[in-house]
Order: sequence, then structure tokens, then C-alpha cells
Amino acid sequence: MRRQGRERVDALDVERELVEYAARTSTDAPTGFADRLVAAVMATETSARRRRGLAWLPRWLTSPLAPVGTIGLRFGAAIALLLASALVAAAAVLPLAHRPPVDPPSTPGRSLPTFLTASPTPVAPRLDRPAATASVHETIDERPSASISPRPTHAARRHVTDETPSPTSHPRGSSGDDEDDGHDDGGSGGSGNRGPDASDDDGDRGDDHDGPDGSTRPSASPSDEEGSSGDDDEDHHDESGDRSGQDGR
Amino acid sequence: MDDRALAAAIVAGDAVALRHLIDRESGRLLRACVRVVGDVDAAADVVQETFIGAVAALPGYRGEGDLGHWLVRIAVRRALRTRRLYRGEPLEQVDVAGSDDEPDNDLLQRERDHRIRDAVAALPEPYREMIVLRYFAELDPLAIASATGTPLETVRTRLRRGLARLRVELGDEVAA
Repeated sequence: MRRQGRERVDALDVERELVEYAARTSTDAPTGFADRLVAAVMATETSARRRRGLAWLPRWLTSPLAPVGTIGLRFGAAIALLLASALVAAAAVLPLAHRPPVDPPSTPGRSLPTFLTASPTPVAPRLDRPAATASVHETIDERPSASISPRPTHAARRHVTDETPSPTSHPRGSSGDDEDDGHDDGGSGGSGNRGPDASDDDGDRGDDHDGPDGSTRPSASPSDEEGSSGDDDEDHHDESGDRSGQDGR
Repeated sequence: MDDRALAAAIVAGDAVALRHLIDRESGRLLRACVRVVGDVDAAADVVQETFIGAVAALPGYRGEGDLGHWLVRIAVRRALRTRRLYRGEPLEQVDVAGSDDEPDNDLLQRERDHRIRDAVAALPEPYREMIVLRYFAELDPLAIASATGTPLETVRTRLRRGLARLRVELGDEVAA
């Protein structure tokens, strides 16, 4: 009891000393101090915003300061912005081969219309069909001819072989031996030209602008500046409060 | 304008809101930092760094707790770090009021203030932060509890023990 009373008196002495010290050292801000602070903060923040570029975007999207109802609107605007920048980037990267051919210079005496002199735009084969589908197509196409029409006799086959094939005649379905004719167009779909949408890196333009805050921004949270050194005679309830309080922000 | 709206306006780049926050908090921050560092110019630098860092970190401010207390805590931490960096160098230039008549007393007072600053800076955490927030930044225990997220009773216990440790550090200084 006596010891506690002595500690209390000592604490009061020290407390009084600290209060007197605070009163002695109470200083007013120098003239123009607030102006200096505003100028310094504005200059730093302006240059930081310029340096960060699009890094504000994820922070803006997840900012807890904005009303919750605008989160969908903000995400929509961000997606539209990313799509627009991806389209611009894709248009800049596209090779010249994908652009329509330039009209050949017209020769004198031939005044054909432009659409006739221009090289025809090649009709793309069925690019969207994969090779596996083509082989199935062949199989389906051949099976009826093999099952319905009987295999020709030797004499008939010789007759067919002796004929000179006409360049205009299409052999499909007329003979069971010509299995490969007429089906080549289905298997070349895999090498079709790729449009702008096929570019792999179109959608990742904004990913490398990482948000700070954490990373690029200076940490102003008091909790990360220095840790507590702990103490031997700390109360138990102190420890629990300490852990919950260090990162209060 | 409450703290949450004020922070949102500053994040949006509103210079008027920034000016309002600086006008409201800079005096208290400067006084606390002067008491820790012992030099007005060094404390002004600390306050400036505090505002720059805090504005950059404002998007992470969730509006929980007083914005001024948050700033004070940042400033105090920075001031303590500055105090450690300049340890041993003569930073103390704080004018003591009414000391022109007795130069000897002025010298003694300066020496005493120097010892108080050293003793507080030498306290282990968490006592040091509690003492500085309570007596240098002039926050009451409830505000300290809110700013640090520490239970109120824990704040009081730490303050009492911090004062006891200071008593040991200062020794005869207090008894005199």
C-alpha cells in the first residue's frame, strides 16, 4: 500500500513536470507556415499523380470514400477505358498485310472501274472450322457412296480409268476410288488469318500500372514505422490491446 | 465537413479542403513535434513530411476515428525518428518564456528540458508513444485509445507505468 502511494506521488511529480514542460515549449506556427505546407503538399501530389499514370485506377475503383452505389458505374467506366486502350493498341500493332490492297495504277486506254482493277479480296475459306471437323465431314460424305453404290466391276473401272478427266467435271460422288478429291477445303481452317480480337495481349495493357498504395505510395500508417519493443512487466490485458491497436488504421 | 468528406475531397484534389485540414491541424502537430525534437525548424520539416505522406496515404483512410488524431500519431512517430537521428547534436533551440532576467535559470531550464526530452525518447514502446501522445500532443486517454485502437484501461495502465519509468530516468531532476 505504501509502495503504491509512493509510486502515485512520483507519477504526479513527473506528470506535473511534463505539463510544465509542455507549457514552456508551446510555440506558435511561424508566419506563412500553412502556406508553405499547402504548396509543398500540392507540388508533391501533382508530380506523384503525373508519375503514377494509371495507377490511380485500381485505387479509385476500390476507394472506400466513394459511395457504394457508384462501384458498378466505376467498374463499367474502367472496363470501357481498358477496352478502348486495347483497341487503340491493337490498331497500332496490326500488320499492313491485313489492310485492303492498294489499287494498281490504271494503264492508259483502259478505263475499267476501280472495283474491277483491284485485286479481288480472297474469300476466306471456312476459317472457323477446325481440322477435326473436316475429317468427320469426309467420313460422312464417303460412307453413303461406299454402302449404297456397289463397287464397280473391273471392266467398268477400266472404263473410268481410260477416260481423260475433264477439267470441269467434279469427281465428287461419281467414283468411289477418288476419295481425296474435293475435300481439301475443309482442313485448312487452322491457319486462318487472325483478326484484331485474336491478339493475346490486348486485354493486359493496364496491369503493370500497379497501385500503390501501397507499393509506390509512401506509407503513412503509423503502424508500419516502428514496432513496439515489448516489456517484461506488461499486464496481460495490455498485450491483447497492443496487438489489436498497432494497426488500428 | 466531417473527416470522411474532407479526406475524399483532398483525394479528389481539392486544394481548399487541403488548406482547411492544414489550418486545422498544423498548429497542434507543430507543437507536439517541437516538444519531441526540441527545434522549431526541424519540427516544421517533420510536420511537412507528415502532411505529404498522409495526403498520399489518404485513399486508405476509411473514416474510422479522428483524422487529426491519425495525423498526430504519424507526426509523433516521425518526430521520434528524427530525434533518434539527431541524437547527440544540439537541436534544442526552443525559447523559454520569461527567461531574459535570469540567464542562469534559463540555462538550467534548457538543460532540464533537454533531459526530459531524452528521458521520454529513451522510454521503451509502448510507453513512449503513450506519454508523447498524452503530454506532448495533449490528447486525452480516450482520444489516445481511439487513435491507437487500444482499450482505454490499457492506455491508463501504460501511462501510469510510463510515468513511473520516467521518474526513475529523471531521478533527482523531478525531486528538485
